[in-house]
Amino acid sequence: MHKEIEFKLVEACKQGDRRAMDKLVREYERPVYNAAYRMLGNPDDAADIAQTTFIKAFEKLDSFNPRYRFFSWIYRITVNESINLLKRNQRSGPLAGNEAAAGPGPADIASAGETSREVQAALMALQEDYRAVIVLKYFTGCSYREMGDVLQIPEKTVKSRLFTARQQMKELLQADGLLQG
Amino acid sequence: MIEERTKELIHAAMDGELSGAEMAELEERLEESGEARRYQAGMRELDSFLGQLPPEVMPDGMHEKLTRAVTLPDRLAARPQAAGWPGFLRYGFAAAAGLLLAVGIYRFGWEATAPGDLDQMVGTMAPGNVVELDSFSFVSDSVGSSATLERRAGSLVLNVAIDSDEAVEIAIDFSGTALDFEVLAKTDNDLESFEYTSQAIRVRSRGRQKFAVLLHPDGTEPDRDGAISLEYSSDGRLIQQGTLVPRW
Repeated sequence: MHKEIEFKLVEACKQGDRRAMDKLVREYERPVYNAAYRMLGNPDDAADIAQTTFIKAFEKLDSFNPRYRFFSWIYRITVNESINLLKRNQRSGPLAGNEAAAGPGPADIASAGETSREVQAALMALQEDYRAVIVLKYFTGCSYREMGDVLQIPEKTVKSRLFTARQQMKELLQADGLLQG
Repeated sequence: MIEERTKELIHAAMDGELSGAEMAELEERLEESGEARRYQAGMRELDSFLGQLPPEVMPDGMHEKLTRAVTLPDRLAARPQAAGWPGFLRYGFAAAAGLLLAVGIYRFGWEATAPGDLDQMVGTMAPGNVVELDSFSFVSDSVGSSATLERRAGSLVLNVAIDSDEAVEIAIDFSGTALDFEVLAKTDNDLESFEYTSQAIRVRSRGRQKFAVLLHPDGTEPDRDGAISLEYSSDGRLIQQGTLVPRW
C-alpha cells in the first residue's frame, strides 16, 4: 500500500471512518497473523495477538508517528505482544494452562504442513530476538531499515542479529535434513 | 576460513542491500575463495527455502472478528460532512471526452520512473518550495486513492496515488481553473491508458499506481472558485468524485 494512501487512511480512522479501518485491517491482517504465528508457534495465540495488535493500534492512533509506516508500528506491537505472551507463559509454566508457547500441539501439527511445522520448531529453538528478525525478514518482507523501525534498534544491530539468526536457522534445518548445506 | 567481511557481504547481497562497489568487492572475494562460494550457496538455499514457505491461513471469520473488536473515535457523528466531499462539482467529463487524444506518455520525450526522478523533473521545471494547496482521499471496497495538489513556484503539481483491485478510469478536468496540462509523470507501474486534451486528462489504472500531473497557468484570469474535478469509475460505474481547489 502506498505510504500516501496509508497516511490518508490513518487520518480517516482518526475521524472515526470504519471503512478506512477495514481497509487497513484487510491490508495487514495476514502478515500480522503470520508474524504472530511464527513468533509463538500456535494458531490460537496468534489469533489472540493479532486481535490485541489491532485493538491497541487503533486505540492509540493519536500517538502514531506518521514519520514511520503504519506497518512498522503494528508489526512492532505484534512482536512486542508476542514476546510478552511468551514471557508470561514462561513465568506461569506449562502446568498453569498454556502449553502452546513450547510449540504447536498435536492438532496444530496435524493441520500444518510437515515442512512448515519443522521450520516452526527450528524458529522456536531460536532466542526471541533472533526469531523476531527472521520472522520480519521472511514472513513480513521488511528491509533492514524497516526492521530497525519495528524493533527500534539500529540497522547495524539488525544486520548483526539477522546474520547470527540465519546461521543458527541453517544449522537447525540442516540437522533436520531440510537443507543440504 | 571465510573472513567475516565476506560473510557480511554475502548476507547483505541476499537482502539487496549492497552498493555497486560492495557488489564488486563481493564478486572479487567469491572469485578467490571456493569456501566463500559454498557458504554463499548454503545461505542462498536457506534464503530460498524460507522465502518459499506459504503463509499460514488465518482462521475462518478472522477479519470480521478483528474489525468488530476495533473501536474508533466517534468523531464522524459529531460532524457528518467533515470527512466527506464538501462542494462536489458534478460537471462531467463527457464534453471533453470527445476531444481527447490518445497518446503515449513517451510522446513527451522523457519518462520519470521513480519519485526521485519526478522530484528532479518537477524541480527543474518549477524550482522552489512545495506548498500543499488541497487534498482528498477515499476508500471503497475495491479502490483506495489520494490526490494532492501542490504549488511549486509558478506551476501546480497534482499527485495521485491509487490502489485498486480492478481497472479504474480517473477523469481529471481542470477546464474551470485557468490551468493547462503540461506533462504527466508516472512513478510506479505502467498505466493501462492515458489520454489528454489541454484541459482534461483520462487515465486508466489497475493495481498500485502513482503519477503526477504538471499544470501551468493558461494566461487567462483564474476563477477563484474554479476547481479541478476528479471522477473515478469502473466499467461505466461511478466510484467516487472529488474536487481540488487551486487557491490562487
